[in-house]
Amino acid sequence: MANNDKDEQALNDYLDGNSALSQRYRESGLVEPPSHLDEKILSAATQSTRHSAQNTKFVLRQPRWVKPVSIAAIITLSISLVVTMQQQTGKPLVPELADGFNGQVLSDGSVMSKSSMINEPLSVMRDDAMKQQQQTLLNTAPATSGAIIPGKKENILAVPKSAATSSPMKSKLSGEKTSPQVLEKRIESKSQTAGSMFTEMDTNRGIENDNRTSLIEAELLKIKKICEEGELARAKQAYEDFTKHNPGINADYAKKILGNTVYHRLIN
Amino acid sequence: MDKELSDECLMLNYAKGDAAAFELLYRKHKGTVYRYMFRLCHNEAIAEELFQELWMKLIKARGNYIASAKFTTYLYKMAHHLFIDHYRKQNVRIIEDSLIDVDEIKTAGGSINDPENQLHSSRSLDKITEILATLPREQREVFLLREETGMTVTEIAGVVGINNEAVKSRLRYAIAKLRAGLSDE
Repeated sequence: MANNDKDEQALNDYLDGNSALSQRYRESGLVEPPSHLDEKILSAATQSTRHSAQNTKFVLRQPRWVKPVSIAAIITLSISLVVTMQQQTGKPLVPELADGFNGQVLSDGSVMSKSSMINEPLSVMRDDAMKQQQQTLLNTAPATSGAIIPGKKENILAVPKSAATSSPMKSKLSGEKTSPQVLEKRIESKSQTAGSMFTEMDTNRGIENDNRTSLIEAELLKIKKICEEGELARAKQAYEDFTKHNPGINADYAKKILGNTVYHRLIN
Repeated sequence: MDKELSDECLMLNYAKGDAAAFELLYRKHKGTVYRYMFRLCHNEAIAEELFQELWMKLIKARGNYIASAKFTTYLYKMAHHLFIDHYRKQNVRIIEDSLIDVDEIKTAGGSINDPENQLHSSRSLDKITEILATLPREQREVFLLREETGMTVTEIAGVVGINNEAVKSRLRYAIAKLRAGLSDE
């Protein structure tokens, strides 16, 4: 117990700075680090500050050219991309985007909204594309390639210039009736001209349907002509053969092509 | 007259790139730090290695320095951790190392100013360092921190990472052993 108090007292004296022990320790000499260490450490400290100053300068200088060059590169790439796409498609891309346009301008000047483009069935859109293509071809077709009709698919037909005077378009517009000979010629040449007209469109199935519809229409018109010429029996026979070969033909459609009177004469 | 800057200000100035501030700081603390290292490990080569490593570490970490505590606490805490790391790496019992070579200390710069006291002092040096070397590392460290830096018990506790009572206890044992050893002279 007495020892503990003695130690405690010694500690307190030592902490107060009144200890002979501390005095003796301080007299023990001042050992210093070697001078080569001083030089090494001080030079390292100086070099470190120089390096950091250089790094700071580099960091501050970096954005001066990096940012403008990056922006210029992005702008150049964007413009070149737009120009290239415009050249490839042949359609202006920028005005539609710049005006906040949400739809598509069709070749006839009409406008299709974006929402309607989305909601429109693919087949309808394809029809519209075909109509546009047909219109373009009609307006720009050379003399030898005949003409095409916009509108009904079954009327799409092209004929040589020799038969162009009786083209469905013109006959429709002028009310002129198409002769069976002209139709036959048209049917013969149709596959060649139509094929060349729609090579750019992915509408092979549509072309086949168009061909078939045109053939049926031509056949019915031929029967109608025979009937109108007074050869009713021959016309009836031809109509029977026609219905046998085309069992799926709608009566309303046949009536529409033949006309009400002729149709009733043929079936009675 | 220029007002003397505190250690914390000097360190912050150095962090901003003032190399002269570091030099002032270094010259102020190099002796105490070196003696702390040297008398803690009793090996000149290791002491020099740890001393250099400490200051290099301080140079590298200058950007992260925050003057939240006294600079000496920050510095000696770093020194303490370096010593502990070294101690663990080497897996040596420093306490059991050979006793300090007095001649080595003398050649390392341990000059004594008063020639009349040279004999007495060298005897004291011999004795006190011999006894100090026999102390457990923990007791030796708190004694050295107190003697070399003049830190309070709380500050020593902060450096070593123990509570105040533990510091007092270690100091009490160290003082008792040193006094007992010196009284045998």
